[in-house]
Amino acid sequence: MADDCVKVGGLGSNFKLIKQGAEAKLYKGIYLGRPTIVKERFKKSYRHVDLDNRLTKERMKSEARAILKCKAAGICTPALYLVDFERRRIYMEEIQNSVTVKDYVAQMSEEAVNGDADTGDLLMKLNPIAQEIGRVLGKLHANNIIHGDLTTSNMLLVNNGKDIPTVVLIDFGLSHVESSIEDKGVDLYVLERALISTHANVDQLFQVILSSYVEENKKQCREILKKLDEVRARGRKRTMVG
Amino acid sequence: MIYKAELDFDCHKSLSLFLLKDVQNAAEIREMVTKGTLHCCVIKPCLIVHPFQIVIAANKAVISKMQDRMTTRTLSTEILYNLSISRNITQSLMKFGIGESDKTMLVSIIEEAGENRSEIILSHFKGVLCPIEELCNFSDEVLIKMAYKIKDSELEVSSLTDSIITRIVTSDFTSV
Repeated sequence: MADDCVKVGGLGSNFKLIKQGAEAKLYKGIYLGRPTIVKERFKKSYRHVDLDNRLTKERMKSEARAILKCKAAGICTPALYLVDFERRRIYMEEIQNSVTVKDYVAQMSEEAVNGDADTGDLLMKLNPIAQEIGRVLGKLHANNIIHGDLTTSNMLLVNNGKDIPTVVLIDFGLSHVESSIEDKGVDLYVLERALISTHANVDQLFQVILSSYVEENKKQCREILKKLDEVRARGRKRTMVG
Repeated sequence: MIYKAELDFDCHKSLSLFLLKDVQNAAEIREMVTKGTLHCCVIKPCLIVHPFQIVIAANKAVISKMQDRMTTRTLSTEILYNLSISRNITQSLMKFGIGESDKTMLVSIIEEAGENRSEIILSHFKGVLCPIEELCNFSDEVLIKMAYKIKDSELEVSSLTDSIITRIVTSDFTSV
């Protein structure tokens, strides 16, 4: 606990710890006058110092690269304010007035239950968002960006005044640039599993996502879908036997 | 009139920006800055879309200085270098620094907390101070999009400022 306070102090007293993952801590506050999220990757004491520094630096680089590459490809991502290898921090824009897809789906599901609507109505309602997610992911893979952790918590919806909200992708901590069919298949598989485990009532949405994904990533889609079937049969990790 | 921003907490520094037009002594100013007798960074406004662009570049510069890892020799050149996404120092300074006959310029001054050197520095400029809001009259979007390699398709999902600053903070290890 004491450790936390020191680090928040280093960030300025207006920063608050909002989340702690396996790799990093997330803080929220005001930086350079703007609402900001700071992702600080902590030191792993069980790793050799040099290796740990090197790994952290490389991962921060791929995270920042993926965010920039997404922007250039026309995918909404947070703006970056600072990448600081020494303090192991990435400072980025806090997306205002947003809700995670996870919370949104949960909220809609609850409303449906309370309002006595059936699953079909709920699916209808979520359909446009699933389509938009599919378009974004198609664009992502068409540009050879692998997200690495596609879950509904890592997608934000922002009301833009139009019928369909903007989908913003976040948390590129496991992402990399790679053209392989394998990685794209696994990326989609991770999302499918996430949907089944967190939103079992509307897991059919994955099919909707896939069909608009295919529209946006025509060139490789057949191979990727074939790979997805293969990954489904064997799991995320390739078995290395013999 | 004045734009002032606090930079990273650990550096205890702030940045003030002034927009000057009809400046008569650009050559003299340039020499003083290069020689190190005038402590400020003078920027060509046509490549600046928003003051925040300079805040981000200056913030990166003061942090590099604090961590003793500046690429160039002075804070002033480091800001110009950071503004550019090119890793070529000479080209970056030429591109974002002022020319000898320039009339309009952005003066950025970095101060320690409590310090106030702006007035003394500005007294060397033979020109007219104007509101920072007028910056938009001098920035050239076409040139900016070219300098930062930003396509229109990107601007459908990002503001020009956001696209620029994301490039500035990643320019050490990316190429667009």
